[in-house]
Amino acid sequence: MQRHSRRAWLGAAGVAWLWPDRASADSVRLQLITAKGNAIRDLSLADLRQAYRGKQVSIAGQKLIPFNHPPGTADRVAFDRLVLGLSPEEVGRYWVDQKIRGGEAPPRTIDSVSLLVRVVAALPGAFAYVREGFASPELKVVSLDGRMPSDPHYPLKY
Amino acid sequence: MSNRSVSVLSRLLAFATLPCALSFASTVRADQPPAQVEAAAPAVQASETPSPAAPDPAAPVVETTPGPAVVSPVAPAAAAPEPATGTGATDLAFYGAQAGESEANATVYPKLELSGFTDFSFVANVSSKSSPLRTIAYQFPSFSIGNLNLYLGAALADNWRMLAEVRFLYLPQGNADFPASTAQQVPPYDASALDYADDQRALHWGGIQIQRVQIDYTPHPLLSFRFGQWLTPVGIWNVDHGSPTVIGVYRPYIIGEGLFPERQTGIQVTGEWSGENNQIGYFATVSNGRGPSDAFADLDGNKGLGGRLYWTNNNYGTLTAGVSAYKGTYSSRNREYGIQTLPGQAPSIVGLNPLTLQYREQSLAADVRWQYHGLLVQGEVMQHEVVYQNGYRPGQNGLIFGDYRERGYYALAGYRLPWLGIMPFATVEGYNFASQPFVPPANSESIGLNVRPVPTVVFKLQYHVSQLGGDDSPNPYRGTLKRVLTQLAVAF
Repeated sequence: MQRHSRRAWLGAAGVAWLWPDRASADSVRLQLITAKGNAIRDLSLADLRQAYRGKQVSIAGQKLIPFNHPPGTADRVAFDRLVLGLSPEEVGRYWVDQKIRGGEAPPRTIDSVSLLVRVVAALPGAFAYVREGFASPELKVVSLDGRMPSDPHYPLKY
Repeated sequence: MSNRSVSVLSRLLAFATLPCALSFASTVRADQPPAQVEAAAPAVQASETPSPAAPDPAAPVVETTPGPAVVSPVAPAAAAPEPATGTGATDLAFYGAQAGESEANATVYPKLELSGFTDFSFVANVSSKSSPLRTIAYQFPSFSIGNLNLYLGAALADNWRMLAEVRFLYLPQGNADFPASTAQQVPPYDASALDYADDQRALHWGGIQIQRVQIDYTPHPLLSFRFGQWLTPVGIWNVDHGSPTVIGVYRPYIIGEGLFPERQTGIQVTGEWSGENNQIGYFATVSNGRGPSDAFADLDGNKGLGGRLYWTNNNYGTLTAGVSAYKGTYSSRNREYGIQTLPGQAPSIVGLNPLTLQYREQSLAADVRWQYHGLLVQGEVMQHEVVYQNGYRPGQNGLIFGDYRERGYYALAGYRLPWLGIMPFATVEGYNFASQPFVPPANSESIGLNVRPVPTVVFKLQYHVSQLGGDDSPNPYRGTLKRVLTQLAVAF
């Protein structure tokens, strides 16, 4: 009986390891925000990637100004992985290499979310990402490839 | 209230608000800030609510952005007293529409950003004692500072940017060129001068090489302009020439041998289209072409034309493939004056400026680079054709140079391990040295380690074997050259 119980426990542990709880794996969603008066309503993942690689991206005649979270924060690490496909170490090397080749500068980082949303709310073309549910009357949520954060196929989740 | 009282009160308020401005300066970091944010700096309150995704103190901060980390100035405007109307009102005063107007009307001088890279190397020739190349170069193991390159950059205005790069050199001190014949002795160049600031003691002076000076105007992603002297957009490592970004200690033969002009002076037009997982870009260039004074003078009026097309795909890592081309005329002239006498006019001095060397050249190249997680695979092939103008060919030891076609390639594969940024790598390369009649075609292989524990520090260890020709090669420079190369390269 004891042996049977141990096997069951090991089996359950194996299943849990192979099939992690999806609900907990997708528990954090990052929503894109911009000023309410901004013409931007939707961004493509490609445009998002380009903007966060420092490339110039314009939508509806408005030049996008991306803002980032500080390196090492959980949301920043996830965002870099989901959007740029880069680990924190790769991101560091990427921007040093860009600097040496005289390429694009990285987006600015802002240390606090409250300051981040105030800058985004006030600066034309500015946008950033915050966790889903972060609301501000001056901001609106921008869909990503036509999907809002509530969409089950929304890509910015971890 | 008297004016003096107002002044004192203003100074006290300025002192009181200084920590707020400093707090903001420490929270906003970037290389190239939008001007509006800088203008907004003084208005931000110091009491920030903590981020829901606050930095984990244990998490390593890996992103490094060379140059000034804190860019928001502690503007004198911070001295202005803030009405206690709450954050929203304060923000409006600085982030609102009025802020843009004041920014536009203000005289904002761009900030200069300094960054760069340097490297320290140790090279040992470990060829067998019977190899002729044992003593041709790298005869004794040596330490050296190879590059000390300084970048000076500035965001001039929206869509305008400037970048200059200079390399500081110990050369020409100690330089000893290759002898033209076995009977010739070439002493090391003595660039010493008496230092009047140090009691007339001898001082060895060095030089400065301007690597590039470029002014960028980027009105649209599909159409941007670069004016000045720029690195030729060819392949991978001509532009990525900084030692921290190059995987091995030295760049491959074909990158440094001038199959394409390393840099040109002129105008570059570039653009990039971005799709979901693909980018397609182009460069088109017009320049003075090559010549002894190509940085500031065209000696033949034939502009050098070039271009590059590339495609990048992000489906599986980042795959970039590109092709590049260049066509131009090299000319060298002496400056000589003569007398011209036209009927009915007094004689006048005119420039004769006879040609001494001229050739037409055409270069082609292709490159591919694939990065997939830690994997890096890249390679480049190049060809360079030179056709001399008869009567203006160079010569050496009584021999007249013929037309030639240089060809070469290299391939590199490496894998960046997750520990300490260690990348084992291997390279193969070949180059026919067609431009140098005394050097036979060469092939080389190398293995090495590129260790990048932090993004700004790279340590390299490489074992490099080059085979120049065979035993029966008619070219006098031949043999096997084996070297151990080490380098510490840093970006700052």
